[in-house]
Amino acid sequence: MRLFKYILIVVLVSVSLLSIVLSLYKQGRNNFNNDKSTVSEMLYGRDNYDILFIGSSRTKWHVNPRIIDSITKMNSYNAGRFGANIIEINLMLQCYLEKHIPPRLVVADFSVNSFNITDNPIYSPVDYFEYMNNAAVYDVLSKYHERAWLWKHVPFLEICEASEIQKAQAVFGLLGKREIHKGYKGYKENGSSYIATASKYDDNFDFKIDQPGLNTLQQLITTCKQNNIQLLFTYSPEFYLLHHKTEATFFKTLNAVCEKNKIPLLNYRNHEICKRNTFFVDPVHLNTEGATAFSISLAKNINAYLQQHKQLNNVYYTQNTY
Amino acid sequence: MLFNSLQFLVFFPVVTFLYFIIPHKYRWLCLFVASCYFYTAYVPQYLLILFFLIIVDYTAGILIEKSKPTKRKLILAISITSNVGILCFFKYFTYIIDNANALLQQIGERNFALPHLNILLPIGLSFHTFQAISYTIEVYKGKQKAERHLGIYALYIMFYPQLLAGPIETPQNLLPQFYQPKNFDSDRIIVGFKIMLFGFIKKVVIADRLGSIVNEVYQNTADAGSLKLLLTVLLFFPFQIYCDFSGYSSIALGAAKVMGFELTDNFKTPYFSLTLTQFWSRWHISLNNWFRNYVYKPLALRLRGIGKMSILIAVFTTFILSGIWHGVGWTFVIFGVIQAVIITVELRFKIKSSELSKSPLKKVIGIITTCSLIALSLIFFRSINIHQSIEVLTRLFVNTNYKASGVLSDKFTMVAYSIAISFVLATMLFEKYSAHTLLNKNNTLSKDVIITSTMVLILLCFGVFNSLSFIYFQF
Repeated sequence: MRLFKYILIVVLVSVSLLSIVLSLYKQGRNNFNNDKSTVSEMLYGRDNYDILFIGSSRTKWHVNPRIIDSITKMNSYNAGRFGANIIEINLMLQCYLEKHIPPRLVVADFSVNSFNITDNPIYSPVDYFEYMNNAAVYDVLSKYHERAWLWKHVPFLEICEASEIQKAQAVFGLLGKREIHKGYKGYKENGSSYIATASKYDDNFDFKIDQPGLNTLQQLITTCKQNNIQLLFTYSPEFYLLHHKTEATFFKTLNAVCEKNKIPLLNYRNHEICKRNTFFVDPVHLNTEGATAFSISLAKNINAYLQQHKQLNNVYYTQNTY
Repeated sequence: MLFNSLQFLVFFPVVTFLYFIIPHKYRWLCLFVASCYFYTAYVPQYLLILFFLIIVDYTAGILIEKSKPTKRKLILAISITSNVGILCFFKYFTYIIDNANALLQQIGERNFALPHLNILLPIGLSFHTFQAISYTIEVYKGKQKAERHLGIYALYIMFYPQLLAGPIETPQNLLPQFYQPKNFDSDRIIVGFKIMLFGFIKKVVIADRLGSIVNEVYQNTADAGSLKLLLTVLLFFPFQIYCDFSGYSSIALGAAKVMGFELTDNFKTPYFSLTLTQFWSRWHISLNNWFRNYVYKPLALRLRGIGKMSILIAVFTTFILSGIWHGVGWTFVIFGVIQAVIITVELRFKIKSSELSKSPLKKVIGIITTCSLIALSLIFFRSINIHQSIEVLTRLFVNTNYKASGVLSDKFTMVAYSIAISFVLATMLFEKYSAHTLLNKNNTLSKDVIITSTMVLILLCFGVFNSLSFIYFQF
C-alpha cells in the first residue's frame, strides 16, 4: 500500500512541478526572442509573400528581406531554420502552402550537408512541439523520431528535449535579458565579428547524399511545379579558404538535379564576397555586413531573373553584381 | 537494451511485475527470458556465443567437482582458454591483424595483407567472460559448489541488470540469491527505485552533459585552447567516465534491489581517495577484486622466491592486463603502466592513506595529487591513439596557449561549463555525505516523496536525452 501511495504522490508532485517549470521556460523563451518563430509564421502568419527564402542557418543569417524588398519591390520572408536540411526546408514550404497563396518565387538555399538526412534528420525537434497537432509537422517528426507520439501527448517533455542553449535563453529571458541580434521577417543579424586570420579550413566530414534526401528535394520541386511557383536554387557564400571533402560530389549531384528540372542555381561559392574575411563570422556564416553585401547581390540577381523572365536552362549564375 | 532508453522504461516495470506475480519456482525462468530479450536488443546472434560459454562453463564446473585433481586442472584450463580465447578473438583480432599488416609493410611486404574479418565485439563480453572464469576458478578451489541447475547458472551469467557492464559478481554472492524467495517489500522497492534514479541522474544529467564537451574537445585537440583542454582533462573527462560507469552501476544495483537482489557496489567515492592504491580499491571494485584474486595474488605468491621483485612484477602484470582489458591499443597499455609505476612508488616510499588521513592538510594534498594523477593518466585512456595523447600533453605543458578568452568570452559556454561543474560538485558532495538518505529504508513517506520528486525534476529538466551508450559497454 505504501508503494502505491508513494508512486501516486510522486507522479502528482512531479507533474505539477514540471508544469510550472514548463510555463516558466516558455515565458523565458518568449521574453528572450524578439521575433516570432518561423514555423508559427509559416503556419499561422497573416501575410502572403511574393518571395519565400527557405534554407538553413546560412539563409537565416545571410538573407535580409529588408534589402530584398527594397530592391525587388516585393514582399519577401526569410524562412531559414537553424540546422535545417532538405527535410525541414521542404517542411517550411509545405507549412506555408497550407493556408497561404503560393508565392511567386521560392529561393531554396543549400549547403553541403543539405541532403544528408540520416545523421541528423531534424536539427531541433523541440521547436516543433507546439505544432504537433499539424498533420504535416507530425508526419515529418514521427517519420524520423520514435518518440514523436510521446512528444505529442506529454507536453512537459518539451523541457526534457530542449537544448542547453534553449534552456539558457529561457533563464536569460526570465532575468529580463533579450537577444542582442535583431531580427526582421525571419532574418537574424549575425553580429560584426569576423575571421581574423586568413588560414585554410578543411572540413573533412563525410556528408552523405542520401537517396531519401534527394527524394525530398524532388518532392519540393514537384510542389513548386504543381503550385506554379518559380523555383531558384542558391548556394550562399562560404569563405574561399574553406574546403569541404564532399564538395565536388555535392555540386555534381545538385547540378544534375538543376539540369534535369531546368532550375537555375545561383552559385556564390566562388563569388567576390567569399574572398573578404571581414564578411565572415566563421567559414560558412556571414556576419551582418557580409549578409548585406550578399542580400544586395542576391536581390539584383533575383530582379534580373524575374524581370527578364527568361527560361535559364543550364545557366548557373556566377555574376559578381556586388 | 540501454538503461537510458524508452524500451527499458517499459521493460523494467513489466518484468518486475511479472517477477512478483509468478510463483518463486518459475521466477528464474522469468528473469532468464527477460535477460535474453534484454540482450537481443543488440546483436541477437551473439546470444549463441553466450549460450556456448554457458554450456562450456556449466559442464566444466560439474566435471571439475567430480574429477580427480590432475584432471581438474585440465578442465579448468579448457574452460579458461575457451573464455579467454573467445574474448581475445572478438576483442583483439582486428587489432592484431592491423599491427601484423603494419609490420609486414615495414619489412617491405607491401603487396600482402592479412584479411580483416568484419566482426563486432559482443556487448559486455569482457564482463561475462570474467564472471564465468570466476565461477570455474571458485569451483576448482573448492570454495563454491558446482551449480547443477543449468537455468540458474545461465541466469548467473545473464542476469540482465549486470549483464552488459557488471558488477562482475562472484558465484558465492549471486548464485544463492536466485534460490532465496523474494517478497514484495515496499520499502526495499522504494530504496531500489531511488538508487536507480540517482544512477540515471549521474548518467543522463552529468556524464552525457560532460560527454558532449569532452567529445567536442577531443575531436579537435589541435584547435582547443589550453584552458579548455585543461578543464577537459582535469575535470570533465574524469567525471564523465566516473558518472557514466557509476551511473550504470547504480541503475544495475537499484534494479536488482527492487527485485530483492543485492549486487556488489562498484564504487565508493573514488575521487576522495588519498592515494592511488586507495583509488583502485574504490574504483570498479568488482573488476579490481577479480584481478587481485585471480592475477595479482597468485602471481605474487608464485614469484615470492625472488623477493620484492615479485610484488613489482605482480603489480605491473596486473595493471597492464587491466589496461588491456579496458581496450585495444597501446594507449591502454600505457594507462596500465602509469598506474603500476605510481603504485610501485607508493609502495616503495610507504605512502599510505591511513597515514595521510591523520592530518587535514595531508588529506587535501593526497586527494588533489591522486585526482590529478588519475586525470592525467586518463588522457591515454580517452585518446584515440598515442599521437593524440602526446598532442594533448604538449598543448597542456609545452606548446601552451592559456588564453581565458576561448572559454570565458562565450556566455553560453560559460553557462554550460558552470552548470556542468555545479552538478559535478553537488553530486560528489551528495555521494560523500548524504547518500544514506537514498539507502535508508526508514524514511517517512513525505521525505521519500520529496527526494524522489526532486530527482525526477532534476533528471527531466537537466538530462541530456539524445544520447548515448554507456562508455563501459565497449569493454
